[in-house]
Amino acid sequence: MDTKVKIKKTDIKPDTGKSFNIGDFKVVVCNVNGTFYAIEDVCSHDDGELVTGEGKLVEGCQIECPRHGARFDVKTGTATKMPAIAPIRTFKVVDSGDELEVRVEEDERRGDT
Amino acid sequence: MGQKLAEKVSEPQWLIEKRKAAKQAFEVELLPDRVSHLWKYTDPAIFNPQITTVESVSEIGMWRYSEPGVEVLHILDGIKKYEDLMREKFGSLIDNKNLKLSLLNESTWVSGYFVYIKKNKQSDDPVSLTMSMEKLKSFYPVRNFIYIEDGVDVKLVEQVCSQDEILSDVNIVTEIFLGNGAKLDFINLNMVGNKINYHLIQRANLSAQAQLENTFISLGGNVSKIDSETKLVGEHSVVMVSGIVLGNEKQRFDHHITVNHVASNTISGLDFRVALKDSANSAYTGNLKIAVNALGCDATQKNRNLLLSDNAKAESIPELEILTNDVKKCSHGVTMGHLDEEQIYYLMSRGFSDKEAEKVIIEGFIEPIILKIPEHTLISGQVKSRIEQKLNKG
Amino acid sequence: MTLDLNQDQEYKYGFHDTENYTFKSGRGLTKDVVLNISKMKKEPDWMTEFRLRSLDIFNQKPMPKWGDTKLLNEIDFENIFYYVKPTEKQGKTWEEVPKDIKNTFDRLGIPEAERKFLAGVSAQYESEVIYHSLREDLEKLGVLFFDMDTGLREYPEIVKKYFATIIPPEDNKFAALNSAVWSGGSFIYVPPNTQVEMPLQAYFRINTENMGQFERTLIIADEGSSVHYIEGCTAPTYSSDSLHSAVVELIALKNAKIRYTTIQNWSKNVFNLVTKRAVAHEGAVVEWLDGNMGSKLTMKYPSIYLIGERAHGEVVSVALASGSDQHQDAGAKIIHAAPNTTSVITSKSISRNGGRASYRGLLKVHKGATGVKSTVKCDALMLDANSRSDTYPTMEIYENDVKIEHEATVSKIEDEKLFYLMSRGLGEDQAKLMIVNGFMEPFVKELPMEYAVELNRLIELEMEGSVG
Repeated sequence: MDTKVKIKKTDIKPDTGKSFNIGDFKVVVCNVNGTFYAIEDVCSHDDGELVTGEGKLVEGCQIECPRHGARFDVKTGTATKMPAIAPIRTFKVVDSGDELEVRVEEDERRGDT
Repeated sequence: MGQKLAEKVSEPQWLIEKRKAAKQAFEVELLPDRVSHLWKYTDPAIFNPQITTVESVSEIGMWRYSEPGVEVLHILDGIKKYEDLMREKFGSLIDNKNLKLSLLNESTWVSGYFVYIKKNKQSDDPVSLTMSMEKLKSFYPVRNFIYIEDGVDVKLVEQVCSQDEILSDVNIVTEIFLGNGAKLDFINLNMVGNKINYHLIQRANLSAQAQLENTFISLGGNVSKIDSETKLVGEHSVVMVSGIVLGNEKQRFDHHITVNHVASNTISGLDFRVALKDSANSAYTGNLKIAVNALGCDATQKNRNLLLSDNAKAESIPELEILTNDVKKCSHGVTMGHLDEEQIYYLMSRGFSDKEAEKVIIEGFIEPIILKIPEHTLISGQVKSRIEQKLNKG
Repeated sequence: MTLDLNQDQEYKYGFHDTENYTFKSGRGLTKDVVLNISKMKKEPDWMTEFRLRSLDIFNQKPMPKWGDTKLLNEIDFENIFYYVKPTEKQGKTWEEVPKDIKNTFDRLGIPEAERKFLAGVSAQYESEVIYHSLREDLEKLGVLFFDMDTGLREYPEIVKKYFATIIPPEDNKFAALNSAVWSGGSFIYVPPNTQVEMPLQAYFRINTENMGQFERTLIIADEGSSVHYIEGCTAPTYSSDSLHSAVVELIALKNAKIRYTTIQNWSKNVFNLVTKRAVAHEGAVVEWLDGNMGSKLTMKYPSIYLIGERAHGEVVSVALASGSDQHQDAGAKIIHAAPNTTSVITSKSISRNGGRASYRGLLKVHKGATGVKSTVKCDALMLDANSRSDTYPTMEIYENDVKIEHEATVSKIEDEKLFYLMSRGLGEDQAKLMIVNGFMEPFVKELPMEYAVELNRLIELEMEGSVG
């Protein structure tokens, strides 16, 4: 079963990412100039959180980990700056006017084969 | 069955004081930091229960058992009957290492066992104690006390279990005292359902010539964590730690095993085997310490990890802190890998399907440890069927 | 080899020149110090901004809560000179090098004849490269081998492309410090398919009381090329503490090979806190040979990120902790982020006379890095009851199609071995030295001849005197 969460667009300020608990995951939903993306709130370098609550984006569409400076592209989840090299998970965001629907799909949930 | 809630009003005064102090300390104590390995891989907040309904475990097995030289009581009865012993020893092995959770236990425990084995008792039959959790959304704080006098030779099997749908938390603290030349073969069985968060703090003190076989069989739980420390305080004492973790679905196991050689000519061994399927995770953090005055010690450790699926994850951090060069032997080893393809091919060429072959190999991997459970008992049957269930699923 | 038991017990390299410098910054670390450094080097704006940003990061970051925190908290950041420039001009040939400095090298025992065999020598002296010479062969090959300052000045595009991409200033407090005040170090670029046969070398020293050493090294081996770089350093003995906080970034592009050898022999007042990291692309090979013989506290974990398929990483680390005033906290970190990558870590440590040798390592395999094979072997030799050995290995394996093996042992010199050697005519000290040399062999055998000889001399010096 998919887990879907509805978030108000106005909850996420422009140029920031905000953390939400969705199903088994912690997800950062980011506002890049009015377009929204969702990535897992885990830095692939040290497995810690990327944001505590809320964090500013850098260089438009990247998020920077506060501990060692690793960066990820919020659109694709790719690592863009060391010491991170492995990508992080991204999630579908459906834009419906005032609201966003962030979907954690069944095949993304751990444990399902 | 008998669900007895602790009659707090009849607790001795010194215990009431202890609890009060623990409660106050607990409120101000912060959750442990996540820098040191003890809590790096698991969030301690999981074990700080949001649930506030405290319940007693249901007791199955040899509770309130007595025969010459062996006494098993409810922990509170043990405290009252052996007041002098308990005043001196109860809580004496609990250190500051995992303070928040040990204080939680100290202030809230309502059930648990007291086992007292008297001098030189040799027992063929294992003492078997099962604790079952039956209520949903409850918190089960359990306190156990094992006191074994000189020259004893005994086997104890402790099982913690629950039905699958029980969503509760359990926090166990167990203290083990082994007298001179005493031998204890102790099996810790985690057979709880997959919705339980299980936390065990175990502290054992071994006197001269004492021998402890400490076996952990971790099969259940949503998140299960063990913080076990054995101190080899008396010369020529020996501890052999064995462990199996068999994880499937989304289980998470975190085992922190410390062996502390305080006295000279002590021996320790550790054989920890982890097999993970589906998206199960395991963190094994070991700490082997040899004190500056502990000469001629022999310590070996081995942690083997079998990763059976794409999403299985294992972490292994076996630390050594050796303060003397006068060691007889000191080594550790870790392996991580998946099933040996050659072995699977061999079995398939003899008619096994690939799933059957896998199962056979995994069973072989965990068998040496499973064999420690007394054969032909109810418990051994239950363990085998749980393993079967876990291996067949998915 | 024969032992001269009458040899002076004092630190062989314990000397220093009278101070003769053209510029010395004031003590302490301020924005002005950083701006002055950048201005004096005539750096492009982006580097100045980078330095200032790094200073902010340094000030914000707390000291590490792990490792030898007791010793770390002894560092007095305000009481250090962050920049000293010994001469105005950079010499082109050996003849142009100032006499004082030449004397230093002479006394280090680098024979005249050896210099012919060196491809090019950058000599770091008090935070600045004062001598540099590039042999014609290298120039013809298009190999760039300069001090970092010159590299930045003459090849800004290459430097800007790679500088701080492997170790950003946010990485840790000491990387931030280096990023703010770095000076000197080596810049090497090897063009595609070029093999540099001769090892490239550099020397480092600390002289002025309370001098910090913040060299920054950047080595890029382009596709299919190979290079071996060696750094070996000695430093005189002082009463106040010195801080050495270097940053080394290595990039081995597709099918390239980089070997980086270090023998560190700082005197016992030095804090040696270094961040060294390499990235290996597809089919590339990176080898760190790391020898830690000196300093008060060394914290150094050479790492390799294997980001391309079939890349291979290897670390051979030796540490000698001698005396209760010495803690070698060394190790290795290897991160597998691509399939079919392999790695080997070999760590050999010796502790004696109350010394403490620690191995701290990380082996991480990311999901998707299938077919990874890795072996880690840590051996610790404790020569007496007063010493200490710790092993803190971490394995984080997030992929199941792997084969990982880790083994660690802690032992003392076995009586049987000692007896055997003594029964063949060796004195006890000689026998112990032989056993120690045998223990260090995996490292020593990888060194070029002159280093192997120097290292053996150092081991001999360390082993002299009574061993408990």
